[in-house]
Amino acid sequence: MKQRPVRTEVGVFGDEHTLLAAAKDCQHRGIDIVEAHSPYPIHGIDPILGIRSSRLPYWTLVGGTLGLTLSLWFQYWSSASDYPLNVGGKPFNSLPAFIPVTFEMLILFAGLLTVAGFLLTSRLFPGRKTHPIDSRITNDRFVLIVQRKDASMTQGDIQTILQHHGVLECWSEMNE
Amino acid sequence: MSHPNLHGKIEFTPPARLMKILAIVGILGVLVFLGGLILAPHRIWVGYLVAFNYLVGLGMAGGIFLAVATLSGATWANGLRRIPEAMTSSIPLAALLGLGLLFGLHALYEWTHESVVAGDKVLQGKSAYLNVLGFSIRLLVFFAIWIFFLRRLVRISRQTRNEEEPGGMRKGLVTSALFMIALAITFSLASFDWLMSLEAHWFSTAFALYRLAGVGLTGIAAVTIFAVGLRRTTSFRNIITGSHLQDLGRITLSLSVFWVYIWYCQHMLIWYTNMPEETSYYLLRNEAPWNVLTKANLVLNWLIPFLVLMPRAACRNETVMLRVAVAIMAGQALDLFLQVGPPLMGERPTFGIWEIIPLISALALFFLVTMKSLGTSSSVREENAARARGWSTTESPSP
Repeated sequence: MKQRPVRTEVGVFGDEHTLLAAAKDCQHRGIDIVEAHSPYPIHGIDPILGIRSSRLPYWTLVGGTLGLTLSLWFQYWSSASDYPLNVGGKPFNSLPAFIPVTFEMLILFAGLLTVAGFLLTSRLFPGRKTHPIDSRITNDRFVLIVQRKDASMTQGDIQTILQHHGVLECWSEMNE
Repeated sequence: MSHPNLHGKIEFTPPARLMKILAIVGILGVLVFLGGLILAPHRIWVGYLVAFNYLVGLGMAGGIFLAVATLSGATWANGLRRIPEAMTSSIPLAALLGLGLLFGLHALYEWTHESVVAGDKVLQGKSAYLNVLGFSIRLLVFFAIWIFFLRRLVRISRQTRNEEEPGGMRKGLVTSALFMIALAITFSLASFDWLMSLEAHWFSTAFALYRLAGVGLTGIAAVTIFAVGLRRTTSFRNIITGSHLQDLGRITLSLSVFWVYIWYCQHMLIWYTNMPEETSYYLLRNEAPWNVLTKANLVLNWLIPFLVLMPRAACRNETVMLRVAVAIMAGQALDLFLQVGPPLMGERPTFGIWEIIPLISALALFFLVTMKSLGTSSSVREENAARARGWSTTESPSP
C-alpha cells in the first residue's frame, strides 16, 4: 500500500497542563491529534487521543485465578492428601490455614502475569531499539504531535495556536 | 462537552412526602421501643444497641470522610463533600440514644451485675475500667469530643470554597489531623465499652480496627446511596459525575477488602492459637445456627462488593452501585447483630420486631436529619464542582 507523505507538527511543552490545554484547543479547531508523548500518564488525555480502556486487567484476572486455584490445590494435596501432618490437632484440610499462602500466590501470579502481558502486548524486551521523537520525553518534556485535516490551515496557523499555549519548541516533520 | 454556568447554584429540596414517611417511621420506632421496655425488655435492648452503634457509625463516617479527604488533598471529592457534611448531623441524635443506653446497661452488660462480679476474678480485675460510672463518663466525653470536632470539620469544609486558599487549607489540615488522633483513641475505647464488653471475659486487640473498618464501609455505602439519590432527583448529575461514582466504587472495594482482612486476622489468630479464653467468641458464632449468619456476613460485606465492583463499568453504573451499597448497609447491620446477639441470646438467634424496629427507625431518622441538612446546605458553587471534575476555570500558562 502506497501512502502519501504527511506533514505533522510537533510541539514540545514544559508540563502536562499546557499540553492538555493545547490538545483540547486543537481538537476544538478540528486539527487531528496524532500522538502525545510524556514521561508519565496525563489525566484526561485518553479521550482526546481516542485511547480505549486497557485490556491489561484481563491478564491480571487470569493470573489471579491461576494463583488462587494452583495454590489452594497444592496446599490441599500436600497437607491433606500426600503427606498429612497433625498440626495442633487441626483437621488436615483446614481452609483458614491455607488462606495466607493463597492470598500471596494470587497476588504474585496476578502481578507477574500483568507485567508479562504488558511486555508481550507492547512488544518490549531487553535490547529492543526505540526511536523516541525527542529523548527528553522520558524526563521532563511533553510532546504533542498534530496534523492538519485540510488545506484551509497552514503550518504557521497551527504553530501560532501551539505558541499561544506556551509551546517551547515546534517543528514540522514529514512522515512516510 | 459544555462548561457549566460558573455562577449558578444548585439547590436540593428534600421530597416532602418522603420526609413525612421517615418522620413517622422514626416516631413509630420510639413508640415500639417504649412498648418493648414493658413487653420484652431484654430483646428490645439488643435492637437498641445495634441501632445505636449503627447510627454512631454513620455519623462518624461522615467526619472521617471529610478528614481523610482534607488530609490527602482529595480535590476529586469536592463535589461530594456536602453529603458527608450532612451525615455528621446525625451525631447529636446518636448522643441522645447514647444517654438512653445508660438505662439499659443492666439488661445488656454482665459486668454491671455486682453479684456476678463478686464471684468472678476476671471481672473484678477489669472493674477499675468496666464500671457504670466510668462507662457513663466515657460515653459523655466521647460525644463531647466528637461533636466538637465534627462541628469544626463541617464548618471549615463549608467555608473552604477554594482548596488553594492557604489559610483555610491549613486550618482544615490541623483540625483533620487532630480529629484522626482523637478518633483513634476515643473510637477504640467506645467499641470496647459498647460492644466488646458484652463478653467481658473476652478481648481482641483487632476489635477496634475491625469496628473502624466496618464504620468506614457503612459510611461509604451511605455516601453512595446519597450520591445516586441526588443524581436521580436533582441536577446534581452535573456535579456528581460518573467519575465520582467510579471513585466511590473503588473506595468501597478497597474498604470491603480491608474489612474482611481484619475479620480474617482476628479469626485466623484465634483459630490457630486455640486458647480457651479467646475461642469463646467463636464458639457460638461458628456453630449452627449462628454460622449461617456468619457466612452471610462475609458474603454481604465482602464477596458481593468484591466480585461485583471489580469491573470498571460496574462502578460507573448508578443502579449497580446503589444495589451494592444497600447490600453493604444490610451486611453491616448483620455484622452488628452478630456482635450483640450471641452473648445475649445464647445458642439460638431470636429475630423479630423488637430486634429490627429500632434499627429501621434509627435509619429513618438518619436519612431524615441528613436530608434536612443537605436541603439547607446543598448549594454547591458550580465553580467548585468544575474544578473537582478536573476543569480549570482559569487556564494558568506556565513559564
